[in-house]
Amino acid sequence: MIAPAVVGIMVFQYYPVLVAVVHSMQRFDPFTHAPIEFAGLDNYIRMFTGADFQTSLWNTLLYVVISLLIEIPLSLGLAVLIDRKLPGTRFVRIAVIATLAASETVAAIVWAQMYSPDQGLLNGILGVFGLPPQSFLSSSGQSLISVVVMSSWKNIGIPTLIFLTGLQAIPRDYYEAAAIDGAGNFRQFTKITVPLLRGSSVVVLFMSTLAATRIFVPIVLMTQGGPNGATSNLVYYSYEQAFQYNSAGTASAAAIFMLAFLGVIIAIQFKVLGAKDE
Amino acid sequence: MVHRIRAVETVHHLVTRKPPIEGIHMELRNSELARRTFVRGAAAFASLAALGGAAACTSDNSRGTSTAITKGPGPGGYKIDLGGYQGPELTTEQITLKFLRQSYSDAMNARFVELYAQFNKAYPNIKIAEELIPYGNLPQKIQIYTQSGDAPDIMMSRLDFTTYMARSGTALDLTGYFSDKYLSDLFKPIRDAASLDGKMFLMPWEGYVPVILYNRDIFKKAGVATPPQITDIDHGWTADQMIETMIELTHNLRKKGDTATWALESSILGNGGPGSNYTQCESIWIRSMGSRNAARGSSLHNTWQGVSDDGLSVTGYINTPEAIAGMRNYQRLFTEGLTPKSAIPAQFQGQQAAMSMNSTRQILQRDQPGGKAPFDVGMTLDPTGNMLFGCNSGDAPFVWAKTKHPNEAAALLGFLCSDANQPTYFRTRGAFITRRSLADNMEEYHTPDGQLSMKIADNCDGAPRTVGWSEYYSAMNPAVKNIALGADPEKTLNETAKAIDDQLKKFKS
Repeated sequence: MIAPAVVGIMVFQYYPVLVAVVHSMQRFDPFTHAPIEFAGLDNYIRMFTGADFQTSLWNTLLYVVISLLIEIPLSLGLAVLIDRKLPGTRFVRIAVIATLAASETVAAIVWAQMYSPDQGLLNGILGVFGLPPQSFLSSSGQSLISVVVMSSWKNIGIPTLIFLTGLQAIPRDYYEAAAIDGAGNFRQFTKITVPLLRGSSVVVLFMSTLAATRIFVPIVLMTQGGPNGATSNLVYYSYEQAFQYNSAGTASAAAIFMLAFLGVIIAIQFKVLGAKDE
Repeated sequence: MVHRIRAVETVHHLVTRKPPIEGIHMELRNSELARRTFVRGAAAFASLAALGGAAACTSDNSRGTSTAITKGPGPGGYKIDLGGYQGPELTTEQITLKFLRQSYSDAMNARFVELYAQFNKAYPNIKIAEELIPYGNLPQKIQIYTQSGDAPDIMMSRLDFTTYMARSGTALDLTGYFSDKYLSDLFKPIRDAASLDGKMFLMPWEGYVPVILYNRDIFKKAGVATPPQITDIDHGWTADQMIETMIELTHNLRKKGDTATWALESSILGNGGPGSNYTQCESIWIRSMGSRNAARGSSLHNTWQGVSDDGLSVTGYINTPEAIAGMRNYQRLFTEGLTPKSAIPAQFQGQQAAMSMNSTRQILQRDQPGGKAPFDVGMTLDPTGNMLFGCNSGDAPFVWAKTKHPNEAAALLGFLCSDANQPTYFRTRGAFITRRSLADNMEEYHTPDGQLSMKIADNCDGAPRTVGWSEYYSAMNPAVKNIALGADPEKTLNETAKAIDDQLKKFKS
């Protein structure tokens, strides 16, 4: 019964990974792009010793950390807001879900225009308040955060829905009992909501980590990895090596490294969260 | 060729990894046009394994396919005017020629359809199937198709990729297919850019003649003298003069309360904005600081040449003192607020910028019969360093070296580039024509600006001759952008030179 699924997974998931592993240890003809000889770990050595890769690796970590810091509290807050059924929550619910429907490409283009130093909406707003224009996408200090903000805006819908589902699964009795015992809203939130959302939090954490590691479209469309590599991450590095520098071996090595990197991060998260469960 | 901003389409296509079903596949069958989607599988890398050994990388001479061409009746001797084509008479078998190119405007695409109909009327057994894709997708598409072993017979490329196309064995040597008269009629720098070791691998399709366009109305409004009106290429302005003019222009406009008009429009080439298209735009600031007449091996000569003789090293070529000085000039455009730091489309056309570093296209369209410009536009030379530099790299199709129909593919290119067909194409498109005899017969080339354009075309150079142009270009664009945004030119060029050299190593072994 599950044979078709297993075959599908083998062909479309594991086989490409296997091919990438092999390619990462091969040298390619720069003209035909065909593998021509075994290169051992040369591609990995070249990659690890390259400044571009080191910058991309560091940036990837930044993407993950900043994305989690933005997305988890924000999506939880939005979920709580929507769950309360306050005036305006219907609008918030639609707005949050609408980000899911928006094309990532279109969103990145719109945000790039909003960030424009010369004609952008955000600098227009700053100007109204007498603040100087900011180089959101062309400053080394701001560009990565600007990309993360756009990406988080786009990605916030699913974590919010997951948290909302979790919230709605918490029996109302708990809150009523806590209220009778004199617990205020904040105490109810920290002592009931947060612990009971543990399962949802783990899912959101994993999903947001994966999404943050794989940010690509906004980077390509908004910064092309610049300025000075300030927004390049491992995915973009791999893309550059494969499609701009025609270095399939290095690109494959980067892809394999990213897979391992993600595995380690997820394992650490799992370990930490798992330990708390015990 | 003008590289309009196509980053959106291009990147969207790359990102979504759509198969070419969105490319329009047009099949002309008995003059009846039918459209259908065109789906191809992804690259079959495995099929290339067999090629690996034989086609292993080399830095020796051209690997481009060169076959002895059986000469046919020659120009004027075929069923239809095939331009300079002199190969064998075309097959009588039923065949389909596939042509991969970018999608132009509706008017341009319609022009192709008309021409195919004429060709098909003369040769009903030869069908022409086009695949139209966004411009920016062409290099990657060509790479995928050629790797798959089943590529279109004709594919559109650019003159800056001539060395790669020839050395990789991707492009067919077209030299023997065209008469000497036809070949010698091509503007020499353009023909040179399409050739390697004297063999022409790409068909010069349209030239790129870089100039500065300016809006006289904005200069008048600012009370600033317009750039020099000149008739020869020896009396252009220097980078300092150009920048000083832009500073004065900006100062005067701001003083009059105009905060929206820029001195120089954001580049509309390539990806737009700073670091948009090193081939045609930003290289001017570096390579003009060199000199082709300087002693070989000198810093001046290296700066102009842009790459070592073997095409495999750029250290000492893109990071010379002259190149660094050129990039410092370029950086001033941004630090002094003379041009936007981001890509903004069509500022010059929208009269939001006084000048544009672009091609003669608008001038040629203005001066053609019935032509006009939306405002009073003038033309002057790009800034001169130690020489006037312009890169002529424009679009150029090639015949796939492994095509089963080389004669017919070359003949089709000859037909499209015939005396009768080229002028109408160029008047619709507005690009610089590649043959002198045709320019002589077109009145837009007889104006002072047209004459100056021809002199610039004769002075132009191709892109640096390297098989690793893709790597070179891909590294220079972000480097130039970083410089525009404030990075130190010397440090950036040194690091970029090292990075490019590292990428070019793969071609040495």
